Amino acid sequence: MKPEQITAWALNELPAEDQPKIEAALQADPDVLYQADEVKSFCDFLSAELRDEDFALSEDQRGALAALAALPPPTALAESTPWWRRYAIANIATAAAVVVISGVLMIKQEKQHVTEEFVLTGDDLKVQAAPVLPDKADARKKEMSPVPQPGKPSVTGLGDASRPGLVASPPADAFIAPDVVAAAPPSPVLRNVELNLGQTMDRVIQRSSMDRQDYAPPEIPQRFGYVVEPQYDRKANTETYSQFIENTVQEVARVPLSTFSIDVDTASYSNVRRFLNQNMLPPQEAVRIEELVNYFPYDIDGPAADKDPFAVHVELSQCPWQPQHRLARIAIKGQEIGMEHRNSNLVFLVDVSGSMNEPNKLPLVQQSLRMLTERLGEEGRVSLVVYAGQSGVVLPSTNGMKKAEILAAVDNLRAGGGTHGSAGIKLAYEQAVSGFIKDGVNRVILCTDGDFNVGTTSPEELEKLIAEKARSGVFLSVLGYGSGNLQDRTMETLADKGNGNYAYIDNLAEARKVLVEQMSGTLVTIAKDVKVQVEFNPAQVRGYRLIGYENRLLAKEDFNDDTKDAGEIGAGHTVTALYEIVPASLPLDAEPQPLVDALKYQNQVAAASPLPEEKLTPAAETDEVMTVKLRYKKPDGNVSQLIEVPVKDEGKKLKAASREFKFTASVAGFGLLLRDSAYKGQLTWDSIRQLAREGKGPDKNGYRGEFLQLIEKAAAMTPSRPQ
Amino acid sequence: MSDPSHAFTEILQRYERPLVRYAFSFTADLEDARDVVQDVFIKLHHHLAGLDEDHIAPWLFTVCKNRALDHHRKNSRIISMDTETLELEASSEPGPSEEMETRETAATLRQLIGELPDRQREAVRLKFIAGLDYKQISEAMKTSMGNVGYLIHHGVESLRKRWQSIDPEAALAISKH
Repeated sequence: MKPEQITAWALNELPAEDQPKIEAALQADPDVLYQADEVKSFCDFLSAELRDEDFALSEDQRGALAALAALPPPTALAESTPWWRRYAIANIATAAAVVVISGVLMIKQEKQHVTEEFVLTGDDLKVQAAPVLPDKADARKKEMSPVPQPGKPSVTGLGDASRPGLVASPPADAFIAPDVVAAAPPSPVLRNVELNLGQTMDRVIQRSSMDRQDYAPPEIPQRFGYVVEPQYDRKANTETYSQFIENTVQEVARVPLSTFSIDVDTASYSNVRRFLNQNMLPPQEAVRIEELVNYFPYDIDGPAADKDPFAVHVELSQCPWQPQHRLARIAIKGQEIGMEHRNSNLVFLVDVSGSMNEPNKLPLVQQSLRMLTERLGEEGRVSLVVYAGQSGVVLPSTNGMKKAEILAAVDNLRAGGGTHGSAGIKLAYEQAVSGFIKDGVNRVILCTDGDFNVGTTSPEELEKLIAEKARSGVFLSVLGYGSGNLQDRTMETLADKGNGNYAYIDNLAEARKVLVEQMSGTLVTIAKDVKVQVEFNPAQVRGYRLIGYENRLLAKEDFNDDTKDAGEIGAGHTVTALYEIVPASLPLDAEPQPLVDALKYQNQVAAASPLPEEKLTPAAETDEVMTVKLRYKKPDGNVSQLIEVPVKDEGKKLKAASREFKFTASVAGFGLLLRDSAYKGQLTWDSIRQLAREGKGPDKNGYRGEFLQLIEKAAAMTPSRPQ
Repeated sequence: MSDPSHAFTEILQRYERPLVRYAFSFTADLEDARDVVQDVFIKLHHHLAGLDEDHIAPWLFTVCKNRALDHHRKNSRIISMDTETLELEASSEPGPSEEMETRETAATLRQLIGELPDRQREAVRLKFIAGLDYKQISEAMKTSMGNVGYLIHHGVESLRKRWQSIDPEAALAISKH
């Protein structure tokens, strides 16, 4: 292997034909792999540092260029004209054209002005003010927290400057959506836009001729900014995550039931890994502990044949971060089904919008799809739908044996254009439904960075669309790609609503994990709407806390309600839930953290001690700690079935816990520290490392070894947090 | 991409930031970089009809580089007579370029890239600042893809060594496993 090939590998630039060879060579030699990883880390670091999204045109320049787009290119100019003359002529011509258009429109508009004016109140401004150039001192912070930081306004006080905190600034990247510019001015709002652009244009052209001291920011573009605001492309405003609040400790006497939907998503782990590999701590919202835990395959027994589609194992041991508490690990293992002889109808839906034009996006999507295609047999059919400004079927449903045809279509994908997500999704589902295979795998596989910015694609509408399409029996997998623009929230919600799973693909190895090694888990759903309800025995347990699953909680009534949607389980999937349990036997004053303060108006009975004897059923007299109940439906069924598992605590110390228990606890602890959780107790990076090492086991695919490396990275980056 | 105005807007949207970053690596001044990039897009508007979609990125960055170098040459001649104006301007505007420089890591890296041999520097800028792929770089630099791989490999290697010698601790953290 040449050293250049290692660098090309690190940059995802290897020619497709060299890819397997180089990958194999890397896997074969740990030293070379180490070296290659170092090059890759440095390349990622370079890209992350050097792709500063704050380098952008000014608002006015962008507006002026958008106006230019609407004009026909000057074709009459002879090629022999010196460039500077062509230039001047073009500028004058452009400016003149704009002035004429503006004039005409202004006259037209005059009469209707009052009704057509886009009226902005002070409150509107406050709400819509978006960053222009965020404070550079805050640049780091901005990288860490994806929530838009209010930036420095370029122009202050539109009308009402005296009100404190009220600043008006045009959105940072107020972009005219292609549709707006391309269209003739049919609506009053559009006329407004062009009018304002005309004025901006004049100023900017002036400015280009080095006339800077005269330059004053025009006032009107603000309005233009707001007019197109609902459609602009939030490029600089990087990544979005749903905020969520950690589950708290619940008292068994008050809330004996804990109900949630299972979650097989793994995206949070790969996303957290991307941050750490770029030497950044992930935003706390990006750390979803259940997804970290569920990223790893666990070595547990599946169900006996001909029984339920999955097995439930529960293990209790000492809680590593709160040694007086217990930690319960509920592991659900789906039955293994080989993908090889399943009839499948797969529709790849690929986002080919402009934002996908980055090495770690579309090229990685193509590589992912190539890998998946390699695995297809003659029972598999594939179609390929793309979407950008428009959407279209690139490859109609094609037999999996016609690999050359499929691969050619995949290789021909090119990025460009806005992102009209909803149209593509509709088209993909239509494809899937038209080729529906009964009892087979029917699935849309959406590959995107999630940045839907054209058309009527508010998250709510997309959700509705997907939820409706999910009823057709077609499942959805969402594969998230890229960084800087990752719309984590949109993608997770889509997968959730669309009976599907969501994985984040940050490199080729991850693509291989999701699409090759765990292909059947990703593609074959064995049970849907899987819900878990745990009832705790108040004689044994005083309080409990569900770790993670914050956005999957259900009301206790939802458990038996078959109309309530919940998570899906794929073939061979393991899903794990952890509860931190406060034993009832623990002396009240010995608790590390009192659950809540003593009540002022009620006696303590209900608050912190077991219920009075007469309220307990005979079952509470047993030494059962809790009962885990599961409901699931067959993939094509509508009626749920119930599994019940009573659980006893054998008082196992942490040392005696199983390897898988220790590893799970370590991953959860890793998440608690990254979230800087209020419940992290005595956790330290050392204790997490220790547990991970003890739980590592054979680690056939190297996932756990990689996790150990992430612990080191995270530990090195959080010296200030209490250890 | 059939509609030219649509195509233009798309290109603007996709390449605006990479171009400004790239121009900045020559001009070291954000305002100048913006002006250069505005000129590039105006030029694009004139030539759009004759450009094949596949060649747009290499074309844009080639034009951008030439314009930035022109601009730089012109500015370095007029700078002596114009300092007063420039100072005035600096105090009246937020001065994004200075703020930008407080991002030390990025600034240091840009400086280190500036010290690379010509061809390597060019390739590294096109790769990491402009975000082009090897094929596009090979077209912009009028060389083979193999050569691009070679230039980037050596550019990255020497950047990595220099970065380690400047900031051994941070470098260690980057590559720590």
